[in-house]
Amino acid sequence: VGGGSNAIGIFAGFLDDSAVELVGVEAAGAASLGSGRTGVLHGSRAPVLADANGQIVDAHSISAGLDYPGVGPEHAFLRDSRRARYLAATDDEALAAFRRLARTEGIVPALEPAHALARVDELDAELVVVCLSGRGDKDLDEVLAHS
Amino acid sequence: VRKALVVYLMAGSDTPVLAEAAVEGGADVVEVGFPFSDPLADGPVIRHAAERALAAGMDTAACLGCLEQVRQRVDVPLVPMTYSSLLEAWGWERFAADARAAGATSLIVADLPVDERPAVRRVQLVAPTSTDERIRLGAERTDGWLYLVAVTGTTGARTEASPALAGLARRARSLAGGVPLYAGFGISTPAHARAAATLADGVVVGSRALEAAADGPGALRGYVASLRVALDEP
Repeated sequence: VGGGSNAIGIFAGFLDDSAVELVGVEAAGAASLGSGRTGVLHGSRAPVLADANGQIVDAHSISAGLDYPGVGPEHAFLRDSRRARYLAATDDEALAAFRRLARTEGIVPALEPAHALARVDELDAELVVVCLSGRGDKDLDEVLAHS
Repeated sequence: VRKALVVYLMAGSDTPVLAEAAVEGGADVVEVGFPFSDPLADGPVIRHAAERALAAGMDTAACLGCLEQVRQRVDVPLVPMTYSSLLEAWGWERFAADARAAGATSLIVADLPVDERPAVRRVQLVAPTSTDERIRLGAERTDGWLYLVAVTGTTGARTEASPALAGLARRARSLAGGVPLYAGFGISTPAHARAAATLADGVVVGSRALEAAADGPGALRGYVASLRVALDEP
């Protein structure tokens, strides 16, 4: 979950099915839902990374798609109503998950869903669906630079 | 009828002296920008000024202090202009009360829709894309005058006067029930100001005023006086 558009897309199909647990994973350095405060950015009042004066502070993530200091307000609603919960993964955890999926399945995931893959093992569920939002060809330079 | 001239300055250590120069040059109202990190209504000049102000420590408390010092030097209406995130952090009504205590006569919150936070009295903005219904609501709720955003874009000097202002001013005139209309965004030269003032009751200058202010109070006074002359020509 960066700005949250991709995640809300896959959540949408399961919102009304209470048997399905919804879990979002943010980048640890851009976790507006996990560690942000309520602010107003780009026209929405929602959790943002901001200082005590409401000034937006820089997000950091190895993944361009997650490197954003705000999040769509619908995710804040899902968090506050406890319909979804949100975890975080660090750059290193995402890189490790990236390599693991490439080696075990031959699938090169984008760094954004690699954050979700980093938390999959810890979920206690019979069946887990991960939204693999994109392919990792675009991220190879970044990943190789960190290996 | 004298056309109103509103001059925008960014809050900072020089602002009290600059505000005094603007008023000497003929400004009727001074807007004091409280900088925000992500000012989506602003073009490059005001954005950079905001970055510099934040780097210099102009947080909300410092801006309120600045407002107080400006108030000690000028007796015209003073209007802080800022963004919702600062009010959300400070407390909406607390912000309005503290600004008023520091000498503000009103407030502009550029990214706050007209139907949000009715308790926070402020100058409402309408744009060429506003529907008639929104213009009517803005006029009804505005504090003193209605801000006509002359362009569908951000603040900043333009070479030509906005072709969208005439239509917006005409609609606002018929919908606003006599509320004064001041036009801003893209107005920088005496000729622009004069052209806009044939359509509206006042004009707001921001980016070009900040550029003049960068050369000191004398330059700002001269620039504002050139606008005053253009507005007052019969």
